[in-house]
Amino acid sequence: MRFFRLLFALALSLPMLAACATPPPASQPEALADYRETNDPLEPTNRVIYEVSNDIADITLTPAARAYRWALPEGVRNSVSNVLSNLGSPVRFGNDVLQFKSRRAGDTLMRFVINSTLGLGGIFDIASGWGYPSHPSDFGMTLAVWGTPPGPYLFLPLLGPTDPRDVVGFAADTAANPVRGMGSGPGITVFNWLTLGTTTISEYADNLPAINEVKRTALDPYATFRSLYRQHRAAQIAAAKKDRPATIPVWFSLPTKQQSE
Amino acid sequence: MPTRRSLFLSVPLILAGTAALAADEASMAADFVRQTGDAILRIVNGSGSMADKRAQLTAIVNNAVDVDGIGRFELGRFWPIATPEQRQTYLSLFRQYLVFNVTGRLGQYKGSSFTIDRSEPLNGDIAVSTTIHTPGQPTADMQWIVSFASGKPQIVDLVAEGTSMRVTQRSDYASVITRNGGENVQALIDALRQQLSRMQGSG
Repeated sequence: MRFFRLLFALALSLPMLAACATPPPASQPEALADYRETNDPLEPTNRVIYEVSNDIADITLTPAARAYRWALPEGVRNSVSNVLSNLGSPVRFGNDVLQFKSRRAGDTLMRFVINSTLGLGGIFDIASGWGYPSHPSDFGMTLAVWGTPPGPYLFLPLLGPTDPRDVVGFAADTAANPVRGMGSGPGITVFNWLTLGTTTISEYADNLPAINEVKRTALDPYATFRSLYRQHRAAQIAAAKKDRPATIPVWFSLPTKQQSE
Repeated sequence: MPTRRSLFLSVPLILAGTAALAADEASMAADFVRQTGDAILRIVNGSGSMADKRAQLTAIVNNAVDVDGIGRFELGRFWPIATPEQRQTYLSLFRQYLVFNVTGRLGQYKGSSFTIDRSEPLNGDIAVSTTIHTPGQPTADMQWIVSFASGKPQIVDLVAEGTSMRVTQRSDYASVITRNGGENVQALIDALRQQLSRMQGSG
């Protein structure tokens, strides 16, 4: 936990340490509106962290992810990410409940039960085929559903593109992981580091082609990643908000529709 | 009072009419995406030289995609401050960039197929949702935004996982312009030109 406390303290103290971008003067209303919409007042600092993170990733994560993609066929990589996703189900379920999304909570619960047993600990995602689709759900999204604004854009070491809302969400989700409640001991410590390491490499490897594509085609990759992150999160949150429990779930097979014509 | 009655009658009729028109456009947009997608895949999977395929794809892009409209959208608030020459140069570079970007992905979609899932109105345009299946790769969901503004259906945007291509690129361009001396489109034109020569050099 000390690590996350440190991260959190860093996130809170950044505004004080950081160099700030100068907003455009009021005489340029469109430029000012643009500046507010981008909402990246720490841009100079964020860019430095972005550059340094990239340089570090180039000699650590990227080769690891490449090796991972080279060594394991796609089917195996999918199974790894299925197992990791299954381990995250309890936290996801808690967030579905906190968002008052009964349908999504039911989906997550059924996925966990089916995939942990018939899916052999999550290796096979059987539940998706049975009408319980997966969906993202984390405490950052829960805060958003409750009405918390995202706050300014941040690029943090290890976390990458994020915002204060998602930093708090990440810390809360990590603290709430039930594995932490299983007590302490060398076994638990090894398990935690192993899952953290595998999650990092597996996720990075899955995203590597897209990351390379942005770096290759964008004129300003930093601004492009910022926009992609914001849009992606907004879409995930909009999908969670839009989920209506009153409609018929996918797994409920309707009696053959009466033809009205 | 026939006028008042006809007015009352005409309101629901007009409403029904617009709804029917939207439904009509939705199915037309779906057909258009199906035809365009089929045409692209026919070229990608067909025989013929790479140069041949590129030429055929370029023709499809020029016809099915509202390239100038997208280019204008992506320049955003800088479009009005650009000089006529800058606009012309920018649009020409933008077209080359888009065509090169599309045709450069030829190999990626070899053996692909796609299904059309939904077609629905979205902010005045039609969003056609498709699922792309490519051998050896995870399935990808892609929304094609089709506009009828020019009279015929044209693609104005692609949306994947909630991220819009033109919105993303607009913030990329805005960043290049504001970071290089403020409010001058010339910085973007120079950057686009450089990138284009780099892409053509490596591809």
